[in-house]
Amino acid sequence: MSHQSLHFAEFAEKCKELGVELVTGKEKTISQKLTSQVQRSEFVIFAGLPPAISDRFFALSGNKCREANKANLSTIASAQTCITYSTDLIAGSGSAVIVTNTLEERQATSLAPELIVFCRNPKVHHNVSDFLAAGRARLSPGTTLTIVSGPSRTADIEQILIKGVHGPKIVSVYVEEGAEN
Amino acid sequence: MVQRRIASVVKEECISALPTLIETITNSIESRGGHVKLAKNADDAREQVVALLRSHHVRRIVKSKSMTTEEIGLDDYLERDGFEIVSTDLGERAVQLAGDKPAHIVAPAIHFTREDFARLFREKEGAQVSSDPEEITKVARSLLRAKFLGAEAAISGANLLIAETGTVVLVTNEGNGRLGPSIPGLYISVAGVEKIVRNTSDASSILELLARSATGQSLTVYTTFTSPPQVAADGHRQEFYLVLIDNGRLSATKNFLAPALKCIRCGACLNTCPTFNCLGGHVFGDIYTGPMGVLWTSITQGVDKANEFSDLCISCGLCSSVCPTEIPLAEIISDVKSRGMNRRGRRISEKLLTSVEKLDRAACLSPRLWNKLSSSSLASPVMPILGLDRRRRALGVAHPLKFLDNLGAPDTTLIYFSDVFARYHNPAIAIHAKRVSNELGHNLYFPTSQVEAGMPYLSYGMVQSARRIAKKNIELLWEYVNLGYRVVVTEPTALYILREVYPRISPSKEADAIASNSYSLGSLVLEAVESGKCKLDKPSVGAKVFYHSPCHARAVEKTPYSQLLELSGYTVTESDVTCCGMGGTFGYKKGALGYELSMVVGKELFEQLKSFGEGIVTTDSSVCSIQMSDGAQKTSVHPLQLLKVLQ
Repeated sequence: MSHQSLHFAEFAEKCKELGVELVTGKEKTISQKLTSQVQRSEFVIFAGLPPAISDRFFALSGNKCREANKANLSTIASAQTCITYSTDLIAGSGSAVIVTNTLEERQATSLAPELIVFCRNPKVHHNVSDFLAAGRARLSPGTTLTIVSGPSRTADIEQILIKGVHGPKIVSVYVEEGAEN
Repeated sequence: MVQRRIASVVKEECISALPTLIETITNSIESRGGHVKLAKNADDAREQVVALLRSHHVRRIVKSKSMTTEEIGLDDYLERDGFEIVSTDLGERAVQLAGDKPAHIVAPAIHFTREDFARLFREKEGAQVSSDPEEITKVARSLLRAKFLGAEAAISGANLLIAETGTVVLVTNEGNGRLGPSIPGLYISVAGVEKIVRNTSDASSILELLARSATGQSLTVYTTFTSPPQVAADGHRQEFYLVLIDNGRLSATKNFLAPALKCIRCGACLNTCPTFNCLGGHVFGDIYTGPMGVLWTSITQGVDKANEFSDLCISCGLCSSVCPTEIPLAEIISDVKSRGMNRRGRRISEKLLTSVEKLDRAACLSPRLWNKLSSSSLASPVMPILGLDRRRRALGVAHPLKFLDNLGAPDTTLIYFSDVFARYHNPAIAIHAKRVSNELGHNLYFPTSQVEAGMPYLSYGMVQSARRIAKKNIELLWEYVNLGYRVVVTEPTALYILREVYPRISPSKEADAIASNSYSLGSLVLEAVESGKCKLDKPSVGAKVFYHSPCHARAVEKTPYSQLLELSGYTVTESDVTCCGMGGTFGYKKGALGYELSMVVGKELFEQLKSFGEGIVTTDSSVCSIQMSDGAQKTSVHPLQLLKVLQ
C-alpha cells in the first residue's frame, strides 16, 4: 500500500469521526452524485473551481447555480450549497485545504449551510506540518488559505457540541479518482 | 513531548528576535498595500483603532474572539464612542449581551447555563427561543448573520502572524473568524507582538499543539491564513490594518516574565488548575484568568494587579506540566508572589509555614511534650492567632530519622531524600522505604545533612530562600550523583522539586544531573518487576484499595503505584481528582484563602472516598493523607507499606 493510500484511509476514518461525508469514484459516479446533491438544493454557488470543472458543473446544475465571482453578497448569502475545490487533503485531521482568491469566494465558502469540496486526485498529507513543509501552501497577497476540518461547531453552551454556527453545518468531500488534473 | 520542545524553542527564538520580526512583518504587509501600526499601550491601541474607524467613516463593526481586544478594553471604548461593535463568537456574544466579561480564554461563557443564553437572546435581542442549545445556536446564527452582512468593518485578533509573508493566522471552530473579514471594506487585526513567528514552518509547529491543548481536537475546524490585502472580484481592494500591541510585552522580553510570552492562549493551564476550576475566571483573574492570567496580568497591568489574585495559586505545578510551550508557570507565579510579598511583608502564617523544619527540629527535642501540647485543648485557640485554621490539627512528631543503612557501592545503594514528613512526623514511611529497597537488593542510605525540599518557600513567594535551600541540597546530593548513585524519594513533592524546580531556580549541570537521577522508589520497583528481576508478593488478593495520585506526582511522571498495587493483587480504585486541595501547606491557612478553598477543591475527592466505602486508602503524599483524613475521615497509608518485593 502506498503512502498516499494509507493517508487516504486515515483521512476517510477521520471524516467519519468529524461527520464529513466522503464520496469517492470515477467521473461518472461523482457527476451523478453531485447532480442529485445539487438538485436537492434550491441554489448553488461555485467558488474557486477550475474553469473546466466549473463548466461541467454548470451543465449538471442548469440555472440553479452561479459563480461567486459573478454574484453580489446577497446572492451569495442566499445559496444553500457551495461547491469549492481542493488539491490537498490532510489525513490526521480530516481536513481539506481551500484557497480563495477573492472576497466573494471566501464569502461563498463561509456562508452556505452546506459545503461540498471537490477534489481530483488530491495530494493527501499526513498532517498539517507535512502539508506546510511540502511548500504547497499558497500565501501570496490577496489569497486566503483555509484548512477546513469538518462542519462549523461550538461548545459554548454548557460544553455541548452543536454543529453549524456561522459556517457550513454540512461538509462533504467528493474525490474524483483517475482523472487528470 | 518532542512537539512541545520544538514549539517551545520556536517561540523562544521568535521572542528573542521580536524587534527584527516586527520590522519584517511591517515590510511584508506594507509592501503589498496593507498598513501596520505599533501601539505602545492599551490607550494608544484603542485610539489608533478608533482613528482608523473614523477615517473610514465606519460605525458597524463585527469582531471575532480576541483576548487582545479584551486586554485593551476595546469594546467598551468603542461603544462609548457610539460605534456598534458586535462580538460574533457565540460565547462572547452572550457575555457582551450580559455586560459581563469572559470567564475563560477559550470558553468565555463557561459560567452561563443554557437558560442564561436563552434569556439573554430573548431579553436583549427580542428573540423567541427556548433553552435548547441547538435552537439557541440556530437563533444566534440568524441574528449574527444579519450583523455580518451589514458590517462596515471587521476586527479580529490573530493566533499567529507570519512575518515572512505578512499573513494573519486565525483558528476558530464556529467560522466567525473566517466569515467576518470576508465582507466589509475594512479589516483590522489587533494582535500582541508576541504572536509573530518567522515563517510557515514556525506556524506549523504551533497549530496542532494549539488545537490539541485547547479543545482536544486534531486541528481546529477553521485554520485560516489570510495574506492581506484581500481583493474583490471586481479588483476592489479591502483596506487592511494590523495594529500590533506592545503593552508591556517588549519590556517583558528582558525580565523574569519572558517565558510567558511563549503562551499560545490554549487555556490548558486553566483547565487543569484545581482552584481555577472551583472559582472560575471572575475570581481567579482579571482580563486574563487562571495561572496564565497571573503572568499576563503582570505583563499588561503590572505585578501589583496580578498579586490581587496570585495567592489563589496553590503551587500544585499541574499548569507547568500541561503547558504545550513549556512555560514554567508555577515558578513564575512564585516570582510574582515574591514581588508582592516584598512590598507587603510576610504574613504570620507564611512565616510559620515556611519555618516548618525549624519548628519540627525544636519539637523533636521533646516529642512527648510537643505531642501532648499540640493535641491538647490549648492548641486549637492558638491556631487562628498564628494565621492557621483551627479545624486543622498540629502534626505530632517522632524522634527524627537519623540512620537507615550503611553507604555501599553506587550499584547497591540508593540515596534517600526524605523531605520533612518522613523525617520528623512519620518515620514509618522511611522504614518501609528501607525494607522495600532491601527487598530490591539495595541499601537505603540517608544523608543526614540534607534539608527540607523547600516547597513552602515557593508557595509563598520566598524564591530567594528556596534558592538557598536548593543550593544546599544540590551541593549535598551532587556528591553522590557524581559518583553514580541514584536518589530516591517517597514524597512526590520532593521528586517534583528535584526534577522540575531546582534546575529552574538554581540552574547548573549538577541540578540537571540530580534531576535526571532522581526517582520515586515505586518507579524503581516497577522497573525491576517489569524487567523480570523480581516480582511482587500478593498477600491479600482482591482486597479493595483506593489510591489517590497527588498533583506533584502527576506533574512529573505517570504514577507507578496504581500499577504496583494491581500487580500485588489488590483491586484498585484510582481517584481521577488531580489535586486534593491542600496545596502543600495552603490548606493549613485560615479563612477563604486557605482551609475553606482547600476543602472546596477537595470536595470531589472526598465524595469519591465516601462512595468507595470500606477498604484500604493509600496515597504517597503526606499532605493528601492529612487532607483525606480531615475532609473524608479516612486514614491512609503510604503505598510502599502495601508492597512486598520477592526476589
